[in-house]
Amino acid sequence: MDLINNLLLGFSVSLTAANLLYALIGCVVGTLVGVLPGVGALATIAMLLPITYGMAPASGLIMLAGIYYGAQYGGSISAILVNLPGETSSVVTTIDGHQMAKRGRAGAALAISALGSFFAGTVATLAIAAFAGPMSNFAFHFGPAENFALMTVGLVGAVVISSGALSKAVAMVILGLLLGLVGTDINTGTSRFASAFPELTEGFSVVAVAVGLFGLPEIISNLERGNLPERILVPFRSLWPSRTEMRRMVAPMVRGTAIGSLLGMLPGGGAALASFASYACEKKVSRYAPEMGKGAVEGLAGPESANNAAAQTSFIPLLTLGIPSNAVMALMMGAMILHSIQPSPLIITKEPALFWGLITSMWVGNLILVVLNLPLIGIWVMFLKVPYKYLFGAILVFCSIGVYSVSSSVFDIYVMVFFGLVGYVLLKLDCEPAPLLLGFVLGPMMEENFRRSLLISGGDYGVFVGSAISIVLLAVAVILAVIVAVPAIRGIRQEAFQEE
Amino acid sequence: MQIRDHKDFALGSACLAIGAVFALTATSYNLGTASKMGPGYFPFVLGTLLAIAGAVIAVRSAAGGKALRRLERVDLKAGLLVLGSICLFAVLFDDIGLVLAIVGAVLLSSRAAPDYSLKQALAAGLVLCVLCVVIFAWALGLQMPIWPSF
Repeated sequence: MDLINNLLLGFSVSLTAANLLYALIGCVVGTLVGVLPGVGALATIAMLLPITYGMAPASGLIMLAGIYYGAQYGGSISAILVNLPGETSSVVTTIDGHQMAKRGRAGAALAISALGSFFAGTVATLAIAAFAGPMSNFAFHFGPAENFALMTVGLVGAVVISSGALSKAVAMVILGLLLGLVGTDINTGTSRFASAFPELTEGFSVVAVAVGLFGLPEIISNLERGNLPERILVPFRSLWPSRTEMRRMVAPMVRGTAIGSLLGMLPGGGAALASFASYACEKKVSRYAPEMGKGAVEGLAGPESANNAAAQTSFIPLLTLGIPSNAVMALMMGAMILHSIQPSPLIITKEPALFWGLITSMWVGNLILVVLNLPLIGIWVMFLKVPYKYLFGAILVFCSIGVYSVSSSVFDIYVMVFFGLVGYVLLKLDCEPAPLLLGFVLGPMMEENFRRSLLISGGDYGVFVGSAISIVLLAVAVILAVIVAVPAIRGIRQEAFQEE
Repeated sequence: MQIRDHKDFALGSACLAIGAVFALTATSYNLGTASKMGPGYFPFVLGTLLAIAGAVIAVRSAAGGKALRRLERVDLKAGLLVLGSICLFAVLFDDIGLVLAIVGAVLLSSRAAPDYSLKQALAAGLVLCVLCVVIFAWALGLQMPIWPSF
């Protein structure tokens, strides 16, 4: 059994004392930062990136993964206890989770969220282990034309799934691709769009771009509202769900896990989409649907399982195809490159210990979270009580240090400020910045594959439809694009985002 | 032509302009041919596409039947203070080290929050200094200037 051997190899890496400790530290600090309202997984990862430097690549990645899950879980805590979602993926959690808390079931809500997440994490880890091999093998023989087609599918998918008008998402992807090209052209050494700033020879730092786009506008708009996010902390007593609650959480948890695992793998998908989809599903199928919105277990267990499953399966396209499916994965990819690992179908064969170590550490991380978080809930709550006015200054400073430390460059801090401005303008124009970041990360790779394909074919554009694989991939992209252009389906898509 | 959706019009025009700038700048690099692409080829194509996408968004903002949507008035104070305090951090950090940069940034950004006295901000800044020096400089051993060097 290959699968078992692979998992054993993985555990031999992830269960070493040092790596266990890193996973533990990652989970704890990830939760601590993730608990802060308005700090999503993306900003958390960027802020905490410096602490993974100087580690062996496997340990660094294991810690990053821990930070990611910790941030995810921390978001749920603040959603349930103070009705402030740390990020989009826990917006849904606030609906029934906070209502449960208000009815005196805060402890149970936290436990259900943790148990649901753990179950989802276990299933998703197995899904990754099962899918990763075949996916990598499939992508292994891709030439530049197939790679180009694959990235096209990824970008079209991101456009289709992003909320808001399609034309805007398309413009954001293209703008991202262009910004990704800034810097030295690797083939000729020509400096492009960067003549005024010698610091830009290697392009914009992905961490600076990500924090600028996603972290800063959030802080500004919090402050702008005048009244800072108020935090009415719900007290809680017992941590244990009652027997009825346990029974009622099973079916939504299983459904949520299935939905999340699938949606996480799609380009543009991810935790946020999964939790919305799961909530919508529970509303349709659950016997207790009328209770939803008033603190139903179903409305909490489903989305919480779904977002954790998706958070995990969204690693599949990144690790096996080298293509990030959402903004967090785009940043993860940047972080992996900082640890000198280029995500591609080759990782699994070239670095099996690292690959399987990372996969198994995902499960270990989930276990740590469930074991650790419930007893430590008092500490997270203490953190939640710190008023926002003391926090945002610290967030700004941590973001700046995080961005600076990537390459000890003060210039990168200015890059972050610039993209903070861009992100703020986009926010005011109701334009989603996620497709921009995806385009930004994929830009250089897309150009490289585009050029190489046409170099091989001698300038014949037919090369992009020269193999069955690329024809199928491009057809998928075209079909996706056409589907959303059809008015009827557009209506459904808008309805799906209406829940927000 | 009457613009209905002011937000989309602004976004579309901006994309049109940015795309045009990228495409025009790209022509100053060698475009090359499809089989032997120069550094300008791909950005030229993308810049053109962005300009087209921008034009489409801008034109559609004037389409009939759309709900009127105006640009909202923004209070620039919070944005300027937040971004400005990060710039201040960057400047001070380079010249006189981490500790004073943190204090400066926290004091300046505190002006963006209501009911936040300078005294409180100073205290918060000092606590943050201790945290940052301990975590980043001591525990993680990141190389960075901490104190002003004379």
